[in-house]
Amino acid sequence: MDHARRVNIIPQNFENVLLTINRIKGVKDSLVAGLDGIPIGKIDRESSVLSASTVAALGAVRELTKTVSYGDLEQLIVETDYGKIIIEEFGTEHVIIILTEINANIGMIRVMLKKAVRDFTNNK
Amino acid sequence: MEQISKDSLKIVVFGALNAGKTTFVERLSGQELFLKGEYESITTSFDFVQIKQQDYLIHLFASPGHRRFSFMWETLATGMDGAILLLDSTVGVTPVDHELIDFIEQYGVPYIIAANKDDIFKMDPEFIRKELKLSDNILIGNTSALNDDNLDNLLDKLIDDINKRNNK
Repeated sequence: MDHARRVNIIPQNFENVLLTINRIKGVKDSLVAGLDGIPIGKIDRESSVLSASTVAALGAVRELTKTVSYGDLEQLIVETDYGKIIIEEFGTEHVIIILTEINANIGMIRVMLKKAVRDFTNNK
Repeated sequence: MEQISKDSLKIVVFGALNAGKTTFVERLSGQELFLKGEYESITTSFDFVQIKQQDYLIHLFASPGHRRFSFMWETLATGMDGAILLLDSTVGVTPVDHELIDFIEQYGVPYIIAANKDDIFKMDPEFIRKELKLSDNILIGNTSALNDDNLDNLLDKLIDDINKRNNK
C-alpha cells in the first residue's frame, strides 16, 4: 500500500456527475470528497465538516463490516428525520455524498447514482 | 486533465490518551472546533478545524488517543501532508507513542514531536529522541497547549518541512 499518497487529484468532470445527481427528484444536494476527508471544489465550513465526518464514518463502518466478516462496504445510507444521506465510493480515491428529502425515492436515487458513478468511471 | 491542489495541507495530530490533543488543536486554531468528537472528555472519533497559516488553508485533525479507537488512525492519516505526535510529558514515552511513531513513519510524510504539558513537567528532547530512536532531523519541541506555548512555532516548522519535501 502506498501510504504516502496524497488524495489531491481532482476527478475531471466531477461537476457533471453532481449536476446529473442533483437533477434527480428528491435530491437536495451532493458533494464529492477525497478519502482524505477534504471536499473537492468549493471548500467552506459546511462542506468541510460533511466531508471529514463522512470519510470518518466510512472508515468506522468499514471496520465494523471487517470485524464481523460481513463483506465489502458498497454504500452507506444514514436516515434522519430530515431525510437521508447516501455515501458511495466514487473512483478509487473519492466518495460522493448525497443529501435527500425525507420522502425521496431512494431506490431511484440509488440506481441513478450507480449509473452516474459507472459512467464517470468508464469515461475517465 | 487532472488538477492538483497546492494551497491546502492536511495535518493530523496523534498522541496517546490524555496527551492533550484536543486542547492542542483548540489553542492552535484559536477558535471553536468545527467537529469535536468526544464523549465524557475522551475523543472517540476525531477533532477537526481549519486554520490559515503561511498562506495555506490547514485542515487540522486530531485523532482519538484511546487504543480502543485506533482503527480511526488509518482513516484520518489518509492523504495527510504532515503529522504531529503529541507526548504527555507528565507520563513520559509510552508503548502507544512507539506504536504511533511506527504508524506515522509508514506514511513517509514530515512529522514533528511535541512534548506537551511543559507547564507541569519538562521532558528532555534528547531523552525522547533516544527513547523513540529518532534521527536528528526530526524536530522535537516542548509545548504547553494549555498556555498556548510554542504551538504556532512548531506548526510553522512542520509546514517548512512539508514545503522542503514538496519542493524536492
